[in-house]
Amino acid sequence: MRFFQNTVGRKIIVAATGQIMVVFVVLHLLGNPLNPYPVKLPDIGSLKQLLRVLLLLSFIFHAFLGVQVAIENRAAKPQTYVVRKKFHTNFAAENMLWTGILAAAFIIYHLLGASMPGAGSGYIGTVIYLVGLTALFLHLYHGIASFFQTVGCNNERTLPVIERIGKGMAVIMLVGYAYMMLLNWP
Amino acid sequence: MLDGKCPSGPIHEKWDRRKQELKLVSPANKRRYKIIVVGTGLAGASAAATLGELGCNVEAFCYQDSPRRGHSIAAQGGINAAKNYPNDGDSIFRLFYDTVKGGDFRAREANVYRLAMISNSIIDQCVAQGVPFARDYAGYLDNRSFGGAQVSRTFYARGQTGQQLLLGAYAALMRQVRAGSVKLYPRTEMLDLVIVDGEAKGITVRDLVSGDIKCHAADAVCLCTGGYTNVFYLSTNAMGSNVTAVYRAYKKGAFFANPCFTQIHPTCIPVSGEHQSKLTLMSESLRNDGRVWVPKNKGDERPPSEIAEPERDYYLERKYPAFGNLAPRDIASRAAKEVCDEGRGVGPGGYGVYLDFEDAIKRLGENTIRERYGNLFEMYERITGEDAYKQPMRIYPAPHYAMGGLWVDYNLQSNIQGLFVLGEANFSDHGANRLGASALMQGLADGYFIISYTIADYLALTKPGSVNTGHAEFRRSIEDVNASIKKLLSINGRRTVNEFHRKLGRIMWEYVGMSRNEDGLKKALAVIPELRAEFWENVTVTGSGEELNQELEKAGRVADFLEFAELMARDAFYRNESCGGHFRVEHQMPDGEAKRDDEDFCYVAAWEFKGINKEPELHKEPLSFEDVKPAVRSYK
Amino acid sequence: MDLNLFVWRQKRPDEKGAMERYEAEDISPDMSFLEMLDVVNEELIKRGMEPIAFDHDCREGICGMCSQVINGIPHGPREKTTACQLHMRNFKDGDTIYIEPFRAKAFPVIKDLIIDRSALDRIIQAGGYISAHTGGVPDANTILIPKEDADTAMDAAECIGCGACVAACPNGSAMLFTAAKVSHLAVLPQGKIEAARRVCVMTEAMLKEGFGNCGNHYECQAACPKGIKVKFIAKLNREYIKAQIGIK
Repeated sequence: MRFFQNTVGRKIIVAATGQIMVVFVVLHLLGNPLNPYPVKLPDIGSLKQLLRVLLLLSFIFHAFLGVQVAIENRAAKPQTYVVRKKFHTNFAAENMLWTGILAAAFIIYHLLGASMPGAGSGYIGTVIYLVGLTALFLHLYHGIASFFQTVGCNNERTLPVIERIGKGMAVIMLVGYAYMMLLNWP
Repeated sequence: MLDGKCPSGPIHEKWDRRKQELKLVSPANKRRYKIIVVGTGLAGASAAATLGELGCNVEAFCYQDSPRRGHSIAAQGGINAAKNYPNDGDSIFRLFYDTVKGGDFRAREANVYRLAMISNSIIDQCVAQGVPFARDYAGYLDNRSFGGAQVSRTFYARGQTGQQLLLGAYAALMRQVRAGSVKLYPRTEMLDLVIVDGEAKGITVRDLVSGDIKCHAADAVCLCTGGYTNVFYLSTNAMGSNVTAVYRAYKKGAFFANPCFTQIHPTCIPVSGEHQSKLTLMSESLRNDGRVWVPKNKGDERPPSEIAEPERDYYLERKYPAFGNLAPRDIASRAAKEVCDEGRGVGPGGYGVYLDFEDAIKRLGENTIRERYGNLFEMYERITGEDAYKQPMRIYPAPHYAMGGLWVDYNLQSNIQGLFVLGEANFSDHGANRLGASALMQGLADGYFIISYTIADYLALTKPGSVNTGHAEFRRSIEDVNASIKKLLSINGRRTVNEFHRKLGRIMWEYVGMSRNEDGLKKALAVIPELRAEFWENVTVTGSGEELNQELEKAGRVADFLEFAELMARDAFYRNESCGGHFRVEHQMPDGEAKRDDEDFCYVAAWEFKGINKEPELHKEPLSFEDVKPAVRSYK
Repeated sequence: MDLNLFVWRQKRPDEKGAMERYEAEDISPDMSFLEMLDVVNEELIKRGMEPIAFDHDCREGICGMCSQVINGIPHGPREKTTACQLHMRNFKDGDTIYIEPFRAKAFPVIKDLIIDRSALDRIIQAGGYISAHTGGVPDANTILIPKEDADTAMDAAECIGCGACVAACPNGSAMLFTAAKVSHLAVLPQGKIEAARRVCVMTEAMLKEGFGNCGNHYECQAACPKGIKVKFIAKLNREYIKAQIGIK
């Protein structure tokens, strides 16, 4: 159990579960029925249920530990500076908690059966989708590359490359899903 | 007549013989003894860690916020050891010989030999602790050469050897804190030594955060509180380095030995103005590859690049062809002062000489130089705004190290039973001048490998816990400390503590600095008491005693410096000879070298306190040299 | 040059502090930042006011005692430079400078700019060492260490324990500090023996002391006066995984 209480242990779980969901986000884009160029994903049959469980568990652990870590982090910095200059961090990195909550809410909303906004779905649905997608994008913008640092697959040379790839992936996801939303728009 | 209580026998057997003679305390009994260690630099941290590991109850004190910040951390160049890894003719005897000769035959032979013997164990110990010493491509330890030696025996960790050694000792100390054998008191300053029935039994301290004055009783006290060169105000010491702990021990009866032996380091960054608060040392190792020069002509204000080779005076290479730029510190320092006094100094104010890397960069390439000294060049650039890869550095001597300190015998015990003094705070190993890379060696030798043996001999004869803080001496000590704090806070004068310190520094630098003479010393002996009197009438200390009060801390330290300065001047006055770092202009060779007087001054001058404004009493410990023949210390 | 200072003043740990304004006049560009504060303090003392309390000691950038955030940056605007080595030529006449203490829950303010950093010592106490006894160790050259490894260990060991990484971290995490010690010792053969235990207990101690978790913001690396790299945090993470799955 010490692993689940350790600062690194928890972060590794958050990073790994996050990355599992990233894989799903990518596959979901590729194999989406709305995709005009759908990629035929292999039929895995009964494995699907298992993967659903895996995804669900990932979601739960990611959310639970992510929130716990974020609460601790806020407590560790009770007072901020009157003047503060930032060097490397960015809006996305600093708001992982909020983008995470928004993205989670969006995913739940999506799973509850709300299909892609299209004709007749109204503006509210569109706005929800746009906000959800943006939150997800911001979350991935920091999260994808962060994974590699957290699991220790990083050094001085790879760090900037991985960061660029991670941010690029996040942009591709945003553009990809937004594009399909547009396609669905009559 | 003082007796250093050195063991008998041939020099290389003395330490083994002594270890055989020393009594032991059984492991089961060690737990019952409490030892106070004041200061957590190399000597203090290593002593506290080692004593704790052996099973004693240790209380370790430092004024900094963490024991990792002792000023040993700032030592850059390296640590000597007689390993002879480079196969260039080094041996324990040669390290011993070089150290005695470097100290101008004013150190105790037996102590120095022991130091040289232990030097090898220190390197082994530090490597085992994970100190990342420099390595060659085969993975073996690398060595560099250093001033005052013709062999490469200096082990180093980039330009931060002191830091790495201290962090090693600090880590060992932290391990003992975790194990419960050492209790740590950071931000706590020792303000008095408590003596019960003639033996050191505790200290009085001020908690620098709350201002509480408290006593700690113990079975023995180790002072590892460093040197006192901040008596010059500007020195390479940390701002907080002070004489207070050892001076208050002196006032309680401990003898102060050779206080006038201070070392002026030749390679420091010159003063830039009145605001200067401290001087920054550039490691002496720079002299391995840098060449020291000034213009041949007076008042030559051209930039260095425009001064052609024939117009430059490489005065160290000219005067000391065998050692050249690696001449010992005192000689290099005085030579720099000499050329500047002639009006050939460089930089603002004319108090600086060039240390030029142009040839080394040509010979070895900029990368090699960067690898060796990169951090020093960066530091130089930060402070001066100049790029030493492109133009020569400017350097000037600055007070750096105190060879003098509390008198101790071979066992590192002072004349007060139960009071042990380690590292720079004692006087024992460096004579009148310390060679580069030897301070770290001494601090760790004392702390890791000597004190644990010698203190046991004292403890074995002591009943553990015989005194507690309820004793009248402790109560009196608290009253005294409280009274002096109250006094400092009540003066409410018009001048700040710093102003007094700065003024004292100027007096000391002028009259008791790099070169001294009878008239100057008389003058110093006259003006120091005047300044001290003014201090006690006109100093202003803001705030109260019941809070964190840095002005009050400083005031207490400066008050002690104002008394100690007089002792130092007096010692310099009485030592009517030149030796090592103590240069009396009346006594010099025709070529300006220090001229010793072995007939009359081959002794350790140990002073006994007799009262403020009263002359202290001089005790002499004669020095005899059986294994090294005192010779004229020539580096030509 | 003349400067406008806003300095955090706080009399006691439990009191509320505030920024107060001071003027620093006639400041020479050759002064260090702390010497500039000395000048301001001398003026305050002469006017019978309490000087600004700030931690400092060696004033040559190695003891790690200074702990000020200058214009929003721990140790000020010059990279790889402690406050004591920061010189006033990095500022210009008329500048406004904000000076605050390092902020983190684990670093409570004691007075003005002075903070309590003993939590860092306790992280080391947890296991930031090699458990070598004094004496009884082999000859130094029996342990061969590849030069690259010795250099890497030294890169990490250069940490001065100032806590700027914690001050800069949005999460108040001491991960860079902890990683530097873990990496320094894990790279060396002498340190590998205890590496697994060390990384676990030190990271546990970090959290226990009230530091936050690493969020991979990399602000620590930018603030570190010794230029210690976040690659060592990756190394710590790696060491932790190795420890969990039992790889030596």
